Amino acid sequence: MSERLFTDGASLIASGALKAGVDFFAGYPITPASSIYSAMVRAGVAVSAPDEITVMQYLTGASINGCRAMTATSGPGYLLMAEGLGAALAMEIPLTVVLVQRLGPATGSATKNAQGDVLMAEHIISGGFPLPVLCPSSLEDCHEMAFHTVNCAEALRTPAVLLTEKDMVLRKRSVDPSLLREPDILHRRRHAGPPEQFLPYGSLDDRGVPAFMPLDGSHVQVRYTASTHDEKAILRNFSETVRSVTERLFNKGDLSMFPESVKSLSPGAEILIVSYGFTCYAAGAAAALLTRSGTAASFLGIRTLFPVLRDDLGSALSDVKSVFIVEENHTGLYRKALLAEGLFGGCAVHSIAAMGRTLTSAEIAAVISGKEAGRL
Amino acid sequence: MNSFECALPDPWCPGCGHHTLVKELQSALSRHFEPHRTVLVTDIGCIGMADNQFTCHTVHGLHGRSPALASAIAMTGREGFKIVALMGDGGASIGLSHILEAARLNVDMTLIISNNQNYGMTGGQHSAYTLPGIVTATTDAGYDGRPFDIISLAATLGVMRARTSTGSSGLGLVLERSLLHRGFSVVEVLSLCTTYSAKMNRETLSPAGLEDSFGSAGLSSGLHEASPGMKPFVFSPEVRHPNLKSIEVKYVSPLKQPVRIMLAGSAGQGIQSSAGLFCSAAVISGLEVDMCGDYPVTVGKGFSAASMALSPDVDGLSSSADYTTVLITSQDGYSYCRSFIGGRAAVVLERSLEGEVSIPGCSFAGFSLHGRRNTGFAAIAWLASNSSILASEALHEMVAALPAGARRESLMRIVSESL
Repeated sequence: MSERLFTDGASLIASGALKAGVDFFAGYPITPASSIYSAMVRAGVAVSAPDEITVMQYLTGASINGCRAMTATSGPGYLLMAEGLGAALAMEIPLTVVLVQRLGPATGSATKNAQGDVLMAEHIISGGFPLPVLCPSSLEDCHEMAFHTVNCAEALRTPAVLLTEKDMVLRKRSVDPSLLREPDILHRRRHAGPPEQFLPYGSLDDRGVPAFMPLDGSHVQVRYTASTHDEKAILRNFSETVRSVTERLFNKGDLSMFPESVKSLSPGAEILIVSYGFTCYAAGAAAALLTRSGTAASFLGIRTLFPVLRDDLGSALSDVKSVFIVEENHTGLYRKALLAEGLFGGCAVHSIAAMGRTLTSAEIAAVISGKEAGRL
Repeated sequence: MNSFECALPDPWCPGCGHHTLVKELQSALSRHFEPHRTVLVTDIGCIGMADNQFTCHTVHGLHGRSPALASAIAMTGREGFKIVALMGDGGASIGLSHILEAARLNVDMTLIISNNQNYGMTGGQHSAYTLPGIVTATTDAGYDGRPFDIISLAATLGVMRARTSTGSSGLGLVLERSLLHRGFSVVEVLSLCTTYSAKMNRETLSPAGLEDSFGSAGLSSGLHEASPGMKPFVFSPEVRHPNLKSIEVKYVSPLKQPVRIMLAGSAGQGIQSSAGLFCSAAVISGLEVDMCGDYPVTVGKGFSAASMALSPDVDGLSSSADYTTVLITSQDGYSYCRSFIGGRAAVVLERSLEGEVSIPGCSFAGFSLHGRRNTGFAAIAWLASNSSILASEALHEMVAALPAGARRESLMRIVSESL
């Protein structure tokens, strides 16, 4: 007979992160992210911070010492982390933030599910510098996406966000343990040459990421600077050298390292339903429902929200005439980001969006059937 | 040059007190520490640019955050490293809570606050450490408030603390003793901003009389040892991977269509734990399950509700928002769900609610209380025996797997009675 877990996303995110080597977690309680904090306390890797501003400083300091550092919060806490995220991005400090969405604005409704932070998660850095934003499409995925997010942070020396939501983290579901995947672990590359040749922001790998030098007592000076700086991490006014160091932050990494979407493609389908997060359950079921009732529909659950994996999405668009982007916020936020990418060609792009309530597959299928009837 | 001095040009105005402080700090460090085993954390403000002047490891971070950043470097760092944070009075204003937290934890680090009475980098505004009477860009008649006394605040936390000035011949010694302390130490150094505060306060601020200026405001100079027996904060992780306990699917549920069940009652009725048992029993019956609890943030009072979706396949869990069965065990539970029950849902109420609520088509007397703590379980035991959801042995098996004790005995009794 088969085995099942009856568990929640918080436990699976904690488990995946620990498997990915997270050994430092700074926590400040906030609904609905607190159970991840509790899991990391039980795992023996957590310290408490007096606020989310301090959380970011703790993660930064621990990461400088080589720890794989992580926290979990929701929208109000994430906003307090904004300055620390910018500093970590500028200093090229790997750290992972799990952002568990709840209904905003402001403190909003702490226990109500929402997907309203999807653009805020990405666009929190002045200048539009990119943060990787990954997103689990199922409870099983929580484990793997936590692992991937830590990997991205470390390999690219950047803050990285695992964006999820209250329903994914707090609901308990039957989970197939054979689907809890563990990718290969990625480490930040350490400086390998002679110590005197170490440049804090100079010794780059083929992803454009500087080599890491731990504070291990070697006779080499390690500097970090959050303000604009040169390759030696010396604070400088803006110049061509600073421009080069700063522009590189836009171009780190290669897209192959980011997890592709989960797909359920129906041959010849003219309808593609796109979603992310917990909403994938209803959106995926809606595609199956439509297909069963004679209207072939494909489903795509995005697991790398940012950067947008254009080829990954494009591969699902071949016969598609109508795209429906399903998300739980009022205006279809992620749809705006995808539209800005201009990758839908001549497809009609629709938003199915709801605020403050959970979409069902029957509702999604009914909306799509209605729209398609109008089109035909 | 000593081993901590760097050849880079310094950024400060002629006569600025930061020259003196940085020279004395470099000198004190060089007498006892090695640059490759020392980390200097600075932040924003004129004194924050000191990192370029040092040969040790440096981190130049955000305004006022250096004590928190240095705390983490200290608590996760290697043995034998010296961690120093350097901030101005502006940084110590915005970052006061970080100073107090590092002191409260007794992090093994030294914090030096260069208090030059103003924000020198932004035009000489007063800070939370500006002394009474001092003229600044924002206090042209002299500051009429009072400053934080960081040394007294540190004293309440029992850490080593010292107050001195760049005009004091003992500055180097005070820095040296503070740096050598194991645990948190804080040094407030009164200093001169020659561009703003010194020019605006020629009568009151002079290099030789800085400590008198503190004294006149009731802020005494001197060094105070930490309270005896204080241990530095240590972060010592021991990674324990969570035990994701799997359960064996060993039965076959008779359920053919998805069902959604609401169990709504009050805090203290065991609603969440009972719903969890029912769902676990559904899992070992081969069903896909989704359970969502809802209760006020204060947890211990008011309603407690659990929504359970059970289905032969995963897609069925998201198919509908309508409940097929609603079990209500208290007036709180009724108030919680009366707006969405009805329609096709079978509503089952606990016996004592008969006459209290009015729902067309509902049934009463489905189950009885079995004591407040067991009310939720009585409801789901009734459901197990009056529906075709679980395999017949499943709920009994989940109860039997509970830790031995009075609760398990009561639940076993309820299961047996309901079957």
